[in-house]
Amino acid sequence: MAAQLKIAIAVFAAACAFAGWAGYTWFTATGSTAVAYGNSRDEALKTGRELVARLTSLDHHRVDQGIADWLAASTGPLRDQLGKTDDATKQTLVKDATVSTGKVLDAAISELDDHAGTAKMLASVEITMAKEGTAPTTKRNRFAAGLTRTGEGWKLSALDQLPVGAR
Amino acid sequence: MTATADASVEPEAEPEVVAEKPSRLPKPPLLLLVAAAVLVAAGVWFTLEARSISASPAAANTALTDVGATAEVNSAVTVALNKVFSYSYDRTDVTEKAAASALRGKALESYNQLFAQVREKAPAQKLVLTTRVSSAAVQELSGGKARLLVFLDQAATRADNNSSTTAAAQLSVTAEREGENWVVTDLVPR
Repeated sequence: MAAQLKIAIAVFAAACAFAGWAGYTWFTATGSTAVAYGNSRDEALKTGRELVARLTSLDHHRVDQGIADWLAASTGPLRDQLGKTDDATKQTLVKDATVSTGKVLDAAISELDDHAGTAKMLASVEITMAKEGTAPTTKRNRFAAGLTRTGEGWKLSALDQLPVGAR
Repeated sequence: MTATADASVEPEAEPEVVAEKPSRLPKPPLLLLVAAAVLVAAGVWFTLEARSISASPAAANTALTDVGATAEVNSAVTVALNKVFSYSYDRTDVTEKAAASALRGKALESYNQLFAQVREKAPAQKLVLTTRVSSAAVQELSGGKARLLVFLDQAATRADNNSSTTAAAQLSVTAEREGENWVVTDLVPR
C-alpha cells in the first residue's frame, strides 16, 4: 500500500511537470512576437494585393461606383487625393469608354512596422485596358504601395508608380 | 407497533452505509493516477497546439521577422542580378563568369533565353547594358530557400550609333543557399 502510494505520487509529480512545461511552451508560442509579426506581414500582403488590384481597375460604365470603391480601399493622403476627383475628371473617365482591369502578378512586403501599423509593398501589376471599339492592350506597371492599418484592417495610404530611374 | 418496526429497520440500514463507505471513496493512489492521466492529456494537447502555431505558414516564413537573414538574401540577390544583367560587348567574360557563379538550373535557362538576343547583337551594336536593382523585397524565407520580387532598371547604350534606351523589368526570383552563399535558382519575368 505504501509502495503503491509512492509510485502514484511520483507519476502524478511527473505528469504535473509535463503539463506545466507543455502549457508554458504553448503560452510562449501564442505570445511570440515573431509569430504575430509574421501574421501581420501575411495579412498586409494579402489585403495589399487585393487593394492594389482594385485601385488599378475602373469600369467606365460605373465610374461613381469605381471611385467609391477606391475611397473605401484607401486612407490618409491617398484617400484625400482620390476624394478630390471632380466632376470634370469623372466626365473624362466616362468619355474615355475604357474598362481597366488591374491584376497583381507578384507582390512582396518590403517593410513592416507592426507596432505603428504601417507597411510598404512592392507590386508588379498587369493593367488591361479595353477601350470600346479597339483591341484591348495590356501594360506592365510596377508600384510601391504604402499600407496603413485602420479600424477596418489594412488600407492603402500611398500608391506610386515606379518609373525607370526612380528610387 | 410502529416504534418497533422503525427500530427493526434502522439497525439494518446502518451497517449497509458503514460497509459502503470505503468502496465509494477510491484509494488515494488511484485518485493520483487519474489526476496524472488528466494532466498528461492536457499536456499533450498543449504541445500539439504549440506545435501547430510554430508550424503555421506565417511562423515558418521568416521574411522580415528574421531581419539579418532577410537583409542578407536581399543584398546577395541584388549584387548577383546587377552583375549578371550588366554586359559590355568587349568584356563578355565578366558577365559569363558572374552568371556561372550566381545562377543555377532553371534560372540559368531563363537567363540564357532573356540574354540570347543581347549576346547576338552586342558585338555589332557595341552594346553596353547596365542593370541596377532599384527595389527588392523578400516574400518568403525558410530553410535556406527564399522568394523575392525585384524591380530592375536597365540602360542600354549602343556605341555604334550613340543611342541609348532605358527599360524597366520585374523579376520573381527564387534563391537557395549554397554553402555560405545564395544562388539564384529561378527567374520569372513579371
